[in-house]
Amino acid sequence: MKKYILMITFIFLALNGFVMSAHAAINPTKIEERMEARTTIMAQKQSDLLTRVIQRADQLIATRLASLQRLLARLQSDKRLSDTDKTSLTNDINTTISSLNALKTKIDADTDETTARADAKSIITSYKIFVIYEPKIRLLTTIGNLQALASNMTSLSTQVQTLTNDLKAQGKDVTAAQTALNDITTQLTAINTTLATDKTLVTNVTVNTTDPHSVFVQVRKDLATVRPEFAKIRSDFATLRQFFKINLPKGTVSLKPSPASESAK
Amino acid sequence: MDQTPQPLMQKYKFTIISLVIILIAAIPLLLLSKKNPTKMTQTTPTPTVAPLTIQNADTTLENADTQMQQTLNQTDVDLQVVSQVDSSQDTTSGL
Repeated sequence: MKKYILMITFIFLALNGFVMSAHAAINPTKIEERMEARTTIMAQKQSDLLTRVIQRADQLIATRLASLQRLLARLQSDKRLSDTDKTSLTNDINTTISSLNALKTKIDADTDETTARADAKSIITSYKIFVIYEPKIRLLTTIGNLQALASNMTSLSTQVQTLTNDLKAQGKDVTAAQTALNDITTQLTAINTTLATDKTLVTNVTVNTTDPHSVFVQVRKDLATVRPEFAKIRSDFATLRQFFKINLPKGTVSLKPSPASESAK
Repeated sequence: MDQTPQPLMQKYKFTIISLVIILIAAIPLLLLSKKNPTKMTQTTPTPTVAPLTIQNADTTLENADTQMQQTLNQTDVDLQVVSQVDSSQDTTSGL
């Protein structure tokens, strides 16, 4: 019985093989057509993949350009930054925008998926807009604002010192005012040191920095310490205002502020 | 052929006419330049800073205080924005 079954199976397989080879011999074009169709499908898949990589890259660039435009708008609206800082930061952002646009043009023209994929990765690795660039520019803007403020307060305190010296020469008791002025000088020295250090720290952060986050955290902590120092200066200003009110000659009224303080706004 | 010498005026006729034309053309230019003499160099006035006096000290210090408050408020806003930057967008996974 087993022999019959084996024989029938063998005959069936042999017939099957014969029929298939005969079919191939009769219709050779069908196999070629299939091969061609398979190649076309593969090419189409590659093309679709390339399109998807390009679309994703364009999306990544658009998000980054939008972020850079917001940064530019923040800088344009700033009235405290020095012209040097403003120009330097604005130029930096514009250069980054141009580079990203150039990269977009290159990616859009890429013809193979490997190159497009590598270019798309460079949108992240070469710019690190969100990990480094945006925090860096925002922190530099903040530091610049505080440095400008400290500079204005320094020049104002110099004027206050001159006025206090005049009153002292007139025989007025300037002890309280002098104490306040000395404290202002101390606070401004500390503030300027912190800001200068932080500015260097932030400026030195590049796309190659291993741990930019720790630098940014440190700088944010430092800037938090600057706040109470300015608060002390404000308290000293209150003391000085009181001092000047007391020593205001009788029959006179307070005048409008000097242009120095107006321009400091 | 007998050649008689030409008088001086006849010899340099064209040169003299050219000089006269140039002189006539130069008259309006001279007149115009007299009417519009070279502009004097304009100097931008240097802004002067009024000295701080006992009369304006209070208001000046008050304004400086306001300036400090505003800058510190802006600093708070900026630092808040920095802390909210979504750094996870800078991942290469999926590329």
